[in-house]
Amino acid sequence: MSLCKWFIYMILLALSPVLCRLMIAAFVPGIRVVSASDLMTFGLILAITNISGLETGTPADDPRKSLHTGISLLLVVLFAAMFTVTCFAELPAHPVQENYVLYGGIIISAASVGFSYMIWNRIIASQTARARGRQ
Amino acid sequence: MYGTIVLVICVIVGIIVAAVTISSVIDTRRRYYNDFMKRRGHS
Repeated sequence: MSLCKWFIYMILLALSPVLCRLMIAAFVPGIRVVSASDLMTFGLILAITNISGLETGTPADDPRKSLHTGISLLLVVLFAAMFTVTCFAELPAHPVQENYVLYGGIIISAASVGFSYMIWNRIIASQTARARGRQ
Repeated sequence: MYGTIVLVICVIVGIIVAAVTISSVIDTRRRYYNDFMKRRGHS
């Protein structure tokens, strides 16, 4: 899997809820352009795909495999918890400032994109090194 | 108040993830790309 495929299969696929909302917001007035729950979905998809890639693509002797799996699990828990927080925002009198949750979602999603890029770059590098070792 | 707590947690986790990302990028370059260059006889 190349990094171009990573971008197409993961980033664009995970961004599909955000892109659909953008498309609807362009034509229908009154709909928000960005929603915190869409960002949480984006981050969840990225983190779960990272775990799948780490389990299948990383060599067993990689000393950072456990660290990366742990960070990915932490991100899954955080995104799921933040998704729950966004559900509270649907209540008529809720104590959650939606803007702050949105800013937090943007920060953590940006960090997730960098983390996912690093993981898949490492997986590709390890597979290339293994393939060259066999030659 | 709850929004501020969520934002603070996100910033802390974001800093941790960024730190792990940067250190792992350096480790990846040292571990795999140096090895690759050595095999090709460039170092």
